[in-house]
Amino acid sequence: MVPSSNISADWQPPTGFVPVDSKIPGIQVYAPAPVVEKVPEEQTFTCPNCGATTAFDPDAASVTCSHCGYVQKLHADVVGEAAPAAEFTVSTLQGQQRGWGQERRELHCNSCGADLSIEANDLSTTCPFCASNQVINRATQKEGVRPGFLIPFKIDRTACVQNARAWLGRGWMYPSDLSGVGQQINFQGIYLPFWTFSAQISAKWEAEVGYERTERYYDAGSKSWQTRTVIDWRWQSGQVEVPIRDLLGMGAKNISPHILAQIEPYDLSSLTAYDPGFLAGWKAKSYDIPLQPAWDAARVEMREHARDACMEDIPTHHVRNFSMSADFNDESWRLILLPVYLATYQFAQKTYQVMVNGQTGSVAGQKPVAWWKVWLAIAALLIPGAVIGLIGLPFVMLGGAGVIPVVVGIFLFIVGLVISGIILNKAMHAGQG
Amino acid sequence: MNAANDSADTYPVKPEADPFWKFPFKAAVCSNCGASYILAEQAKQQLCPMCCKAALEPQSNPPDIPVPELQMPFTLDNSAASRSLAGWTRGVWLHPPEFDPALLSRRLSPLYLPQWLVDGKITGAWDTQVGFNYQVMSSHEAYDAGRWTSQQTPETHVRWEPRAGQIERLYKNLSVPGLEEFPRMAAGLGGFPIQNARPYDPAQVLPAVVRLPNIPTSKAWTLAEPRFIQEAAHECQGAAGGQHIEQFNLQATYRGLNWTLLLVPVFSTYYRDDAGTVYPIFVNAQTGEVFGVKRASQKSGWTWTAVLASSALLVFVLGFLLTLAAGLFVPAGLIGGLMFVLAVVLALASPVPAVWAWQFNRSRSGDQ
Repeated sequence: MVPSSNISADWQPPTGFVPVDSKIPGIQVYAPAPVVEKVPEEQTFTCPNCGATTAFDPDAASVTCSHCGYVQKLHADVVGEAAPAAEFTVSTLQGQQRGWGQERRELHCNSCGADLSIEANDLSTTCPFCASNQVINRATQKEGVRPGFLIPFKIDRTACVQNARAWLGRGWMYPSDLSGVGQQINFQGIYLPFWTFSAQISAKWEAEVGYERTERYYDAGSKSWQTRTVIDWRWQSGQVEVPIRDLLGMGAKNISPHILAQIEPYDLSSLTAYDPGFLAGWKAKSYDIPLQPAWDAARVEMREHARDACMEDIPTHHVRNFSMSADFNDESWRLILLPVYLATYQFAQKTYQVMVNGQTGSVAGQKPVAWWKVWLAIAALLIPGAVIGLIGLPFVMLGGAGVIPVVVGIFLFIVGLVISGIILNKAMHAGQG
Repeated sequence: MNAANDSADTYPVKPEADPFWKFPFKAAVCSNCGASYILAEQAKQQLCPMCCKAALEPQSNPPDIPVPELQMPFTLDNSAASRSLAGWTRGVWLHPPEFDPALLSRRLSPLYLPQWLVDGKITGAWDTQVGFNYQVMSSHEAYDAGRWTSQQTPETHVRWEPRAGQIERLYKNLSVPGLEEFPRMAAGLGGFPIQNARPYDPAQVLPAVVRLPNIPTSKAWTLAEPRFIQEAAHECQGAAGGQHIEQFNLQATYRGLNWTLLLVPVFSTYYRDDAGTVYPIFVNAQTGEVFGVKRASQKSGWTWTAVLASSALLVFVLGFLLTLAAGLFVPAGLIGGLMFVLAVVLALASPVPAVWAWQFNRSRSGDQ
């Protein structure tokens, strides 16, 4: 092969192509120009008209100035669940952008250890996770992978407080003056980090499956023919395809997964390309559960989904010696931010946490319990049955007529006991995160 | 894509250019299939090694004779070729009498088949999709006896990216069939790796017969152009550093086309079936792979069918007689019953040879 450099000068490469190294002389190679992610200069969100600080307004879906009414539209695309995801390669992880793309500082809580990204001019002195004031406002310590997408806040603070008040006033087992606390709660809008994971699972199962069969047999004891159900066991196998899309994995440690689960789900069709403007005036939690442990946890959840799908594939409920294997294909991940209003409030010298879904307004959290109401309700449920039963007891001893009240009493007592258990369980969990 | 005007449309060497072959030769032609040959001037009269149906006749007006540039040596001798034939003929149960390895071996005759070798310079522009391998970690979870075990394994994925560019490369000795029937023969004969080729040596060619191409270079260009594109695609993939290529487009001009010949060695032999139809067989003299049509003997099939049917009839009659004799000697009835069963089995088996031969030939009718 004889190389030559006399290649036509008239030829033009396709638009956007640039020359790249060729490994063979005599062949020129052009490739699309690499997409250089424009590293935005650290943005500061100040009003160009009056110089006041601007912030993202959920109602206007824009960055606005509360002083002069200036509105800066954000041009981020709503990509929804079609938002591009990354594969599990070292190179893609290294290729992710880092930092927040705007000038931000970090609020570190010495009490619970949480790190919170805040605006440079944010003078917060309280940790929204534990209400501690032992916080340090410091420069950002580490710059993790920048989230690619987020769901912007749709619920403003006023609606958030209204929802929280309604939630606090709901239910009979809580203190009557609890709804009044809602006005005093200082909700902080925070973007929480989440990993989303998708995979196509090909699962193969093998098990002994039992099929019921009725057979007749001669019972020597009763000297008669009887019927009985026997199970015939057969080895069977099968294969199921389990697609899993956008399984959410926690990216932050200091959040109660119990409360968070109650304010889900989020509508991921509203996922929007990340723009620092969405964070203007809002706090954001940087992830402290890295990709690998989050993926390990998600995989545990996914394989259980796969096992459930295999069990559903088995035609009967008699199964033994079950085994399966699951091959994960097209595994991908994203780092996204989801909006949450977070607050802690004090009631009777105790601290309680509340969360509001910043997209849907769903509220969940901890509430103090008025235990005297709970015990009163339990007593009211148990006493009628006990009294009726006790009344019937002497009649039973005298003759058969008292059987009916005793039975009714026992029935009412058992019903009351079940309902009391449910109430007690709810009351005990109301104060837990 | 244009072939440059300097490509030759005819064989580049004229008949009178004997010195190019470097030995005294004569041209011959088959009156049956029309194949043209070059063979040593002293060679005896022989059958056409391609169709094996007619003797070669001297050709008074031979075609333009190309110049061989390269040839591949006969790496197999007659005994090695015989072993290949013995292996190839195995498995034909009811074969014609001539389908015999020993007879086929005795009829082996060396033959060189022609392939075109073309040199040319490509100049042009190309665009394509190049695939780059990359590794991802893939998970495998297994559940057994109430426990999960996890495994992560690296998996290779391909990332496709567009590439474009210009090319100016000279390619030499791209091989193109010189015979119309060669692509069909190559399916059985396998390849003739170009790296085994040596410069043309008349001493080695002399004992064999050389088949002349029946595809002129003007027609061979339609076969050669895809080979140039294939080579260019392979090199553009390498130039881009990729591991895969697809949708390769080339806008090029081809200059300096130079056609020469490569001679590839085969052994030719043949057999006749029941009807006297001749079937040629070729053995790749480099690898021992065999190309030819296997035929079963329908005549043998019918003969065996007749033998089995007659046996069935005979056994049936004997069984019948023994059954009649059961009144005199009771065990004869038992033997007679067994013979009835044997007669039925033989009767059922009797069509098998004829049907097998018919089915065997029918399934190979596409090979001809």
